Amino acid sequence: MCSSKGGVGKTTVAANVAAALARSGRVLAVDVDPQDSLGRAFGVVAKGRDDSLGALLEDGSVEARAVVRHAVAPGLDLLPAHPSLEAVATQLAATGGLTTSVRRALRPLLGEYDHVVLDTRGDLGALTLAAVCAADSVLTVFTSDPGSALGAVRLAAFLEQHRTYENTSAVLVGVACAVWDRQGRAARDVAGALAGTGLPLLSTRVPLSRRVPSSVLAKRPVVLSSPTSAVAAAYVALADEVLVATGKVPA
Amino acid sequence: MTPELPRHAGRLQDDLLQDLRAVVPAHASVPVPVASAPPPPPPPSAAAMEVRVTPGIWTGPSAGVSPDGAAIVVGVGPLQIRFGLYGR
Repeated sequence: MCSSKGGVGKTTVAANVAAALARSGRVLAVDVDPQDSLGRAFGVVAKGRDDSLGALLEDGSVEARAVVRHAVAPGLDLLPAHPSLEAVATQLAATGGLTTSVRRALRPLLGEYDHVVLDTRGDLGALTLAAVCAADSVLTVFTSDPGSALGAVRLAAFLEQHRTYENTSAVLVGVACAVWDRQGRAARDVAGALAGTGLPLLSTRVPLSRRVPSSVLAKRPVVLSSPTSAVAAAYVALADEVLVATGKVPA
Repeated sequence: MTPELPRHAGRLQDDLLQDLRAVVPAHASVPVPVASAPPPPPPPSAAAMEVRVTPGIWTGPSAGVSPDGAAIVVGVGPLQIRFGLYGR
């Protein structure tokens, strides 16, 4: 999950898509954002660097499985972040090890999971690049805010640039509407403009719902807390659509 | 000073598209695995009725479909009653 813009619902989508994917396979959710919001979405809060992703990035000898929180939801394990990740990233960047750090840290774990979902912070900085370099596919989101659409196309340009540099082979598999306000003209205008860019606009639109902020407060993604709601159904549909887009399941 | 008039909504989308195209990589190799067909509406979970009072606007008895096609709107006098299906 990436966007060049913050506040567009990345973490909520990441948490719910991860929970939806866990219905049919083993999932590891990885928080690559020092704001540690993905962990908090599941009620997981790291105490410091030593029990979070930062420990794995900083020291390759740390046992990855010891840092992973197991079964935070059915079928779902979680590798949390901590604000100290910022300092770890700065240190790694100085030594040239940051870009490949997330990929190296996750390698011992990959065999245990069907899907790994990485959440990033709302920028296209070096830590986000490190997450992209660990990924096969990138999903981004937009809202009725035109700035979020700009964020999506800037991400596409960012991926193109770093494929050229061979930092990554990840492809943009989809641009999804994270907060669809069906009554609002702005949402339609933004979606219409994005459709004209040629980016892979996904057909699933997550409806605006009061259940979502409530689920964040309850530390339980809405896919788990209100599984029969329309918004949960949309997240499940989005996860299915992403699987098709990545070629993991046939259309 | 003349206030700036709001631009037509269609122009807003065109303007944004121009802004986006200025940023999109010219030869982006992003795949397009999913057709950008009009999306299906989110599954409705609950019927909803909304009543609006418009004191300054009085209309005779009328019935019709809302502009977004999501509801039936019945109006009489200052009341607008909207029956629709909304995602929750």
